[in-house]
Amino acid sequence: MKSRFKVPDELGIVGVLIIVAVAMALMSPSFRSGGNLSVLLENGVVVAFLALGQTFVLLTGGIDLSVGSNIALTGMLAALTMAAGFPWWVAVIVALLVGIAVGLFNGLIVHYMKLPPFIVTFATFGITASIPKILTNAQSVNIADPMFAVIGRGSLAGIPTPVILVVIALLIFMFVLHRTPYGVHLYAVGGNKETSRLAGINIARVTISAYVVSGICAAFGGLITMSRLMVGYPSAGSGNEQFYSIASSVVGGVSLFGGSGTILGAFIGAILIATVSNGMNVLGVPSFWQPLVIGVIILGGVTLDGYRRAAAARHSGLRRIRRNRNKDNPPESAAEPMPAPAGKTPGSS
Amino acid sequence: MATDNTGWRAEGIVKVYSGIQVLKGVSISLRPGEVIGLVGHNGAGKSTLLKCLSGAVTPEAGTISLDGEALTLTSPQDALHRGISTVYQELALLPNLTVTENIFLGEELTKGGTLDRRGMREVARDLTRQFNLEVDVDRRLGDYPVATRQLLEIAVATHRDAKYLLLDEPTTALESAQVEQFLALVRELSKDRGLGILLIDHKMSELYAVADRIVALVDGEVRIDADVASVSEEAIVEAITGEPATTVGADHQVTLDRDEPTSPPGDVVLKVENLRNKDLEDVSLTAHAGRVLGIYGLIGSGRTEFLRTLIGLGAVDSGSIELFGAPYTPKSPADAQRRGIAYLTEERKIDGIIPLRDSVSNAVLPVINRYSRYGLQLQPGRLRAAGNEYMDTMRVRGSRTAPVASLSGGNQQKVLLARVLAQHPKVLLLDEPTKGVDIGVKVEIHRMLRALAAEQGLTVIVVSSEEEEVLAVADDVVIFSDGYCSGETQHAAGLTDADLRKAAWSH
Ligand SMILES: Nc1ncnc2c1ncn2[C@@H]1O[C@H](COP(=O)(O)OP(=O)(O)OP(=O)(O)O)[C@@H](O)[C@H]1O
Ligand SMILES: [Mg+2]
Repeated sequence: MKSRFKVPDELGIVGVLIIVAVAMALMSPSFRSGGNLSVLLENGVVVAFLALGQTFVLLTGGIDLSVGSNIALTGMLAALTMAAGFPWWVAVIVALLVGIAVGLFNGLIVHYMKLPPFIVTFATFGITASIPKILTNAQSVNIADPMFAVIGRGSLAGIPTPVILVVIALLIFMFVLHRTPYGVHLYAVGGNKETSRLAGINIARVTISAYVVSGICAAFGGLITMSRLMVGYPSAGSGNEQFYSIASSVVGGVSLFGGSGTILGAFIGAILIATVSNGMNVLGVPSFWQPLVIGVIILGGVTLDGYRRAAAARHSGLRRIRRNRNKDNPPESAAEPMPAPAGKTPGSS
Repeated sequence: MATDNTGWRAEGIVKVYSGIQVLKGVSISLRPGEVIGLVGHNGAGKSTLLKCLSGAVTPEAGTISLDGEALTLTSPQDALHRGISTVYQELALLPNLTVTENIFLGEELTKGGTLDRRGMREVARDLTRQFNLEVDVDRRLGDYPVATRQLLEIAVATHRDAKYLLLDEPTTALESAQVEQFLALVRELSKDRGLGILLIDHKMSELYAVADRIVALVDGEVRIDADVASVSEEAIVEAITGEPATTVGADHQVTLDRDEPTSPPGDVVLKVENLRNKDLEDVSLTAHAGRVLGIYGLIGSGRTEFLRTLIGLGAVDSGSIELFGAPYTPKSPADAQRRGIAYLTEERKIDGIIPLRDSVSNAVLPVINRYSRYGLQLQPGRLRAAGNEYMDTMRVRGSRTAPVASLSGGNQQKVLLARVLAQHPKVLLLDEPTKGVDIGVKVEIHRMLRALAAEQGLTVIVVSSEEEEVLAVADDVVIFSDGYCSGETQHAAGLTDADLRKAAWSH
């Protein structure tokens, strides 16, 4: 049977993104400028990073509420490392290790204690938000090493470094999810843990690693945030980052129940959210309007997606099977093989 | 036999669930090339035994050995690596993955560390073709009907290069032609390829067609373990049901033994004319009070969609429906229920049970308001009493207070039937009512449905893939084929299995 052309899952969200971008561009000339595009991307990078990690966790059927506060923890520990006289690259390693540790902590508890991810990561959110404040007495820490600024402020061929980083991460994750057995296992575990276990999949490894990926992504978020300001401040990531990371994934088509959605969709979702907040800044809309507008867009995006899925299901009509009915040859005994159904695709009416 | 220790051997297996011994020291052995038919009443412990053998659960006591070497299986992977491949009772494939991904789940082919999608697709195409499954291997499995998924699961198990196959009720959703095909496959795998196969099945005719040895499990103990030639069907039925076979009868005997008088048709209760929607091309039929109407048809012929349309789960594009003489437009399941229609789903796990609630709540779910004061304050005592009464009628075995998901498959089905009774319906729409139910209770259910019609004047409509069941339970039969039903009824009394099969294929 020929496999026919498939409409990519991300089509809906790309459509919404284009509509929003065109509308903004029509309303504001400064939105259209090249400089603004780079600002938009830079501002969206942190949320995009978090959304990538969040998607791994959501695909397993979990949720990670600690990514926002993990920005503060990883970033502050990087800043403190440099304040203690270590070079920038040691700070980067420390941040990544801390991100991995937080992910391991979440993953191990969720998997082995069999506790709901919502509760576990909510607790971790509290812990990771407090530690940096306790360590510094809620003071910020200046970062001196100029090399550290490259992460958040540098650029290569005119493209900001953080944008390059997040695109590399996206490509790696797309490869992992679509081209490796691990990727299939992640979707499988999100679809049904017990089934996956019976199929011989190591669910512990899959579940825990998803939280670790999320922790690493949060660490990149922390490094980029601190590097852009060259200050480690303990209340970093306490704004909308957490909420937007989930929202990006969900508008991008990732199911909160696990097992379906794509990482590219989540990434585009993050760009959509960045576009909306950037557009509103450019248009001079007071910032307290942003969550309201983004909320409405999320609802719109998800509703549209629901319609699209329902329509797709209606057209597939696969639950009906058409048969090549043969009056002379009903299958009565085992000796006669089952008549092979005709090569017609079901539901072609 | 004692000196030769090739094969797979379990001895003294004990499994305890919530303080109750579900398996009380079971011993069973399986040699290469041998087919064992494992039978037993619902809740006897068949699935539990199979799970102990496949490493999915760890028994409290007992030893398992392979070719004389003792093993401890700590995970399903262990068993897979030793060449034991399993199909569990509940469908265990993932609807969110593609057909190909499901076939290779946990055993993906790789090329240089990355997925070899093309290679897998090719193998998947061959495999599905071999099984006459017309599927697009790149589509999500959830897009296909249950029977397709069940066949695919069998295909997957055989594909895994196994030496032993453990199959838990693999034929429940299949139609006769597919069952034949499956049985032929079992024979080929065991006799030509030398696989040892353990087959759990409630249908004696299927077991007698392929098994070399029959093991009957009763209340967690082996009651019979004998060569198929040396044990009669009656003896097995008697062991399982605890009653002499003459009063129960093996499945096909029921048809022949049916001697209750069929009542003359009462008033027309349901009249459907030229009903059409996306799944139904043109359906007309009439159901009478006091009669059981059997709907027979192949999978995908629109039978299930027809029942679902009647309770408002499918749109009516054109045509007319009359219920109790008045025009009826299905709106919603709640509305259908208010009009006295009770529906039993084909897929209990998907839209039947609420897995984590106890069986009492599951049984009285639709009528829970009846057991409350002013529709507000629940009266747990009355609720429990009522739920238990309906479940006693259905002979549900197992804890009534534990989550219903912990009951055996057949008992979950009985809980859903209890739910139908609890609604005090006037019209019963039942889709595969005895799926997974053991022989004794199955006959009991058939009798009960006939009594509901004959004695209480209810209208019962039963959809079934089993010819024997249709013939045993129905007064009249209509055939569904390709979304069509002409409404032409035949009396079940004069029909045979072959007549039905022929009609469904040549209509
Ligand atoms: N996970 C569980 N927790 C508690 N009790 C269980 C669990 N699994 C099975 N049981 C109990 O063990 C007993 C045997 O169940 P099992 O599923 O093995 O029966 P079965 O012989 O396969 O029946 P069926 O023919 O209905 O499939 C039942 O009483 C069931 O309630
Ligand atoms: Mg069972």
